[in-house]
Amino acid sequence: MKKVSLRINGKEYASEIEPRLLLVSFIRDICGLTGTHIGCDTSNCGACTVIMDGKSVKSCTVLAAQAVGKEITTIEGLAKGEELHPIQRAFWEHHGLQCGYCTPGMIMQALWYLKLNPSPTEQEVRESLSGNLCRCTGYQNIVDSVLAAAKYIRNGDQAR
Amino acid sequence: MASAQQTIGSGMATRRKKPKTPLPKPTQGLVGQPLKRVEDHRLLTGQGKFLGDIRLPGLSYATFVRSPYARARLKHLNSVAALSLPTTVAVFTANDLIGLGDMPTVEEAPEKYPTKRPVLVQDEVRYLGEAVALVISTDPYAAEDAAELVDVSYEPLEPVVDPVKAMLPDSPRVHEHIPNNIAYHLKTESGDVERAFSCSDGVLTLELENQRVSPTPLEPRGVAASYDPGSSNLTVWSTTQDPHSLRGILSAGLGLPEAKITVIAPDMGGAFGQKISVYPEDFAIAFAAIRLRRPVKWLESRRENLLVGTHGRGQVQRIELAHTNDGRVLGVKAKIVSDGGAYSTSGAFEIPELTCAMVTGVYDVQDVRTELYSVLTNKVPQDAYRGAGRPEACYLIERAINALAKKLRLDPLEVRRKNFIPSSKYPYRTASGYTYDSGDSHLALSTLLERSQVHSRLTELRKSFPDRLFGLGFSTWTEITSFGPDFPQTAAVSVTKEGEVLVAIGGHPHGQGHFTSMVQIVSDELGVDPGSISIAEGDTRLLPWSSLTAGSRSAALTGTAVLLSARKIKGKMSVIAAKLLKDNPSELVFERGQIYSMAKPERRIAFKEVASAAYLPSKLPEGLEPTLYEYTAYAPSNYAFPSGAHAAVVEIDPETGAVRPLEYYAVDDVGRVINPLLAEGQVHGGVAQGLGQALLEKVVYDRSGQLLNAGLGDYCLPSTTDMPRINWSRIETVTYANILGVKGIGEAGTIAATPALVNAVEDALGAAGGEPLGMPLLPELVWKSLSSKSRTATASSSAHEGDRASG
Ligand code: FES
Ligand code: FES
Repeated sequence: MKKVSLRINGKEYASEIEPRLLLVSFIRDICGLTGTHIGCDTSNCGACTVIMDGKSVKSCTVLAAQAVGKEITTIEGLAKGEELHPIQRAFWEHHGLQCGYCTPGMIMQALWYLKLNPSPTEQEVRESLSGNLCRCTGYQNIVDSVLAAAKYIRNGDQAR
Repeated sequence: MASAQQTIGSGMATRRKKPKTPLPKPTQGLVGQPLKRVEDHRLLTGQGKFLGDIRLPGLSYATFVRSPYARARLKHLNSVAALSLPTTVAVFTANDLIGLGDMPTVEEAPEKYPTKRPVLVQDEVRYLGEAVALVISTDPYAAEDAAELVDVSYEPLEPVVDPVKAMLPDSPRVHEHIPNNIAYHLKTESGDVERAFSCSDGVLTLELENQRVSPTPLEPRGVAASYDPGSSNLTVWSTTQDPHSLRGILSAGLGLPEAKITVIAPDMGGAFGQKISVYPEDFAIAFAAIRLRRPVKWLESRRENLLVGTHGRGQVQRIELAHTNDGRVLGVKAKIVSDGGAYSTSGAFEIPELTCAMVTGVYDVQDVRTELYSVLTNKVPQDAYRGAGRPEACYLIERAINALAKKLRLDPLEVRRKNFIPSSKYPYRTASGYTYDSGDSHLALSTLLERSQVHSRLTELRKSFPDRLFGLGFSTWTEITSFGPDFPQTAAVSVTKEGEVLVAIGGHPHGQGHFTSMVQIVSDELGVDPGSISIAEGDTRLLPWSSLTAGSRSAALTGTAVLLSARKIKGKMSVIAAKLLKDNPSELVFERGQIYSMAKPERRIAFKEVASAAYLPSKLPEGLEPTLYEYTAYAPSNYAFPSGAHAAVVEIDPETGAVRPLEYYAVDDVGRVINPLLAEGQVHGGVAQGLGQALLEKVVYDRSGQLLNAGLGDYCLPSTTDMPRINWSRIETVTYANILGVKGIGEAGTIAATPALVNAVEDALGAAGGEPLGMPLLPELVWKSLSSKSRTATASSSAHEGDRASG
């Protein structure tokens, strides 16, 4: 056991951890930030996607110890109070979620990708999300949500 | 009798020609509108409460020790090492489950055998991953460590893997008391089948496999339980589509009165049928929580989900169509061998029964014989997967119709049209005894062709890219929804003194958007702002009883129960308002939070004021009970039968055999639509699952009963880049199946997409077609089929228009 401190959504969380503890377990079980989900055990589904130092990572594939000193953002860090982030708003407006289990991962992945490519084509959006699985939506409304979000952000909506 | 119908563009308002009786008129008209979902904010901001998110004081964590063999004798089990870890709370084996009953099975009947299914295996393991021990620790990682330390030895036995071979006399038996492993045998016959076959010009025979697949909800299963010894109340949180049934079954198993058990289904990350049945884990976790006097939680891993979560489909099918030379089908014989898995569960028997009942699809044929063998194998039990029995039926008949067209060198659409049940014949009684409420396949198909222009799209594609292979496939589908008499859905509506409306619904929605559609119904009925309506669900304390969320039945049944409860509220509030307004209760209008009479609209009273009055007995008309609470249990006597026509355009890469779905079109008749945004979302998701089965998915067992693809790296779900855009629109025939006029949409896409896509691939292969294609259409399979003929032949046959198969 070793004491570490992780910075998540701008807040420090300190805990004694085992070296094998996954980042996703730290986020969910130690910080109680349960918006980051777990959908597989093979790094395939993307439900656990968070942003680490500006890049999207599957938090089931990162050890908590590897995240020390990094800046982590989870789905809980997006909305400003009641006001949704433009990507969240776009998912709402375009019915981009059904059960909502894949949604946090999808949104975090889109957050990263739209910073990289603010004006993507539909095909580019599809490719950027191909590591995030959704069993409910058939993806069409997710893709449309991300395209709409790109537009909102280009038009000056707040994005972090 | 002609059914009234007209075509409706996606999301457009509804207009009908002369319905027999007027359908309920919405006062504000939210029903039918694409209202954005009211349940989304929590889910978008990470504030959903899924099973994994539940935290309880003193919570301990469970892991199951599972058999690495499909069939084996349990020789010896030692948990001393596991118990020696300081983090281990307890280890349970079969011997420790004193007083706990077995899992539910079917009732005994002629040619129907129940089985004994243990919660933890005592002697013989019957499927891969069946649990032999339960380990409980203070920490989830430590629970895994302890499970590793449980020492189990097995004597492997020869497993039964192939359901057809399982029926041979020399096959090993999954259960000693079931000869030939045939746990259920059912024959049905209607009309004069022999005469139909002897009068025909020929018989088309087709044998297909509808492979076993995993529903794979993105959130695997889970159970948590907490017991309060003082009150002897047990609370169970479970990923279930059917909380009340789980309560009843747990009560029987645990010997605890139902009144002492609360089942709560938290937010659920999809289910698709896999979360209907009661599982050994539900029993074991509840039992452990009671024994240990501390809360226990178990979360299924994805590997476990693929191994031991129920699988769907799994049929070996044979169909014979007696036909005329011009493509008219005179009679049908179908034989289904269903791969039921290791135990006699009701799901495994009832689902293939539905396949038999629906095998004639949208076609007018009355001379039908079906034969079902539900066979036990050493696999996890079969249960519902989105569509449950109907996709298998649709696949069989829609492939057979194409094969018939190919045999007779006719256009498959012409063969379809020749056999459609004419709209004038609705309500139509099928050979299997169901009554199709309404439908118009001719209209669905012509609307599809007109809107999609798929034939000219295909011609264009083939002209622009002459070296590439394109195909077009269709399916014209129907299914049963609104399951009926023995499955009441319930709802209660109450209004607080402040005029806020609370709606409690039964079952457990998990992505369908029921909060939104129920808000629309209630808002229209009571004339209140949608923001003043709250919905509660997924808790057995809310309502005395309800059946499950499944089978595309919630809009029809829960929706009607909600509407009827709201109407009762309206009736009572009308009486109170009439007294306050000194008016006639029957003439009052509820609109925008106000109540008034048509005659004197200037005299109005606020909804809220009437609600407050209901809580003051002195203000109430004599004999009226104070407060506002109304409950309805709704169980329709008939079913509803949505239908439609789907088309898929695919491209095949001749070098690799990879199939790329390019375009997908659907025109569905699902009756009235409460929220087109949600309805269309259901079609998108359904088509994705149908496409998954056609092109990607299959649980692969080897001869020893090992599952070779128990992870999402190998069990391939469709991803963003596998899916084409889906163009959905509707036609509408009027159904009287329920007062809302809805038929149900949840399974449409899954049912229709699989045959449409496979038919499209067969079309793209053109003259290649020797053996009929199997699923999933992985590149290897397609490539083999392609390489069995020359490329030149392909190019020339591909120049023909549309889905035409050459013989
Ligand atoms: S849980 Fe991390 S990729 Fe699936
Ligand atoms: S919305 Fe259910 S998995 Fe994506």
